[in-house]
Amino acid sequence: MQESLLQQDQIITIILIAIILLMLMSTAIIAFFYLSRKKIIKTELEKARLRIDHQQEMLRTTLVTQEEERKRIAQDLHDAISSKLNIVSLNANFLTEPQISVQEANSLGESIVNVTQTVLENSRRIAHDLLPPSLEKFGLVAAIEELCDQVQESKVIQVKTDLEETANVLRDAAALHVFRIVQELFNNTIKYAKAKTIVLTMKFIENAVHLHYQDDGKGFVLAEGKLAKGLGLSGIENRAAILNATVTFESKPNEGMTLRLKVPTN
Amino acid sequence: MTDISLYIADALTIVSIILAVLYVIGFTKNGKAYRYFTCYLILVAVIQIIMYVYAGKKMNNIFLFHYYFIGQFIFLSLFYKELIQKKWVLYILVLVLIGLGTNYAIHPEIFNEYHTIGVSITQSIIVVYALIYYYQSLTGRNLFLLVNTGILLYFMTSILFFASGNLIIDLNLPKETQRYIGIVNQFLYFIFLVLIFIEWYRSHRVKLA
Repeated sequence: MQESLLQQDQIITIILIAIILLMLMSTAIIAFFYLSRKKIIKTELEKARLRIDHQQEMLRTTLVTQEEERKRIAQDLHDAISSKLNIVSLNANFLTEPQISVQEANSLGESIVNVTQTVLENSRRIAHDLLPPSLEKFGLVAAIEELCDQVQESKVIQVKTDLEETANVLRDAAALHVFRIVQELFNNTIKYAKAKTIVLTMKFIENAVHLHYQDDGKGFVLAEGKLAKGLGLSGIENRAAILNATVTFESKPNEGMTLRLKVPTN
Repeated sequence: MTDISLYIADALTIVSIILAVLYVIGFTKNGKAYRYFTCYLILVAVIQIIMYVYAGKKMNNIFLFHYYFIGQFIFLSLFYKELIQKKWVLYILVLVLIGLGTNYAIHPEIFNEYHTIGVSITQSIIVVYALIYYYQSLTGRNLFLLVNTGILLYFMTSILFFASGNLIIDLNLPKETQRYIGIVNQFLYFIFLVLIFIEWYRSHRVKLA
């Protein structure tokens, strides 16, 4: 009897110990999950904060670029149109004078015609710069080819292109972004790089348009280039982000620069 | 000497009935998970009331235990099906029910004792669901986290308590010793109920705000 009581006691002790152990174990599991959850949520918050910061930075640079673009347009309008129209207005005023001779009137008229033609030409050029009509009419490849021709006209830079018509899968906004990127790259090369040749290829491979741009100019230190406002690299990155595209720059001082852009089409 | 654990049991029964009523109030305004959990609470409350009636008439009420753990398994499986959002929870539910049904058909006599294996299996499965839901909640979901915590804590420990039920009865232990184990179980059950209450209070407060 005594022995069986002892046994019973032992069994009860074991059961109690086991229950307490299970209790501890479940508490440990709960604590573990609770703490991990806290940690994960904290890192998520941190990530979200970084993302918002990045977006704000993007927005800021967009605004800055927009403002610069406006300034440039205003300058263009002023230089190429307003000042010329002033001359026209002045000459026209002379024409209204009663005592001018026929000869004078003729020469004034000729001057007015000349200047008006220049103004027309200029306004066409400005509009064209803002949005090349070929982009909408004939697609991205044609627009970029036209751009290359314009760059080559200067005879200073030689442009070698390999543009496949298949790259025309990009339409509308996407095409415009890619066009602007190329335009920005040409701008950089012309303004800063003092390059002799530019190699530009564009191909459509596996649901993505691959653009490769290379010049043999001065190049730059990447970290500095990204900070330099004039280069507009952040603008290129912003456009790439909008396109969901991946973009990589490669450049070193005196070794030119290379850009690879991969724009997914689906 | 009067048995304290009996008073505690009375108190816990009343609390669980109150909780069931509290949850029923918001029944129509809440999602499926909330409804299944309310069903579980109602089941617990009803079984406890019937238990008292039977105990008052000095009748054996151990068969109620079978309804309790099977009902609990059904409602909590459905509850976790909504939380985890996996179809296989339903398949497991059906499989286990078929298994238990066959078991009862072959051995109807087990109705008169604790079904230790059945309760162990069903509660273990619920514990696994609770763990899975905890894992899912790591990436942001936070519905019923307190209830989940309570289920994990109470079910994990009470597996052993219920599993040793037959043993404790067979051993013919003195009331004194049975009481200790009973109090431990009641303590855990109390924590479980408190967590359920806080969960209700929180969701209620959010709605009011």
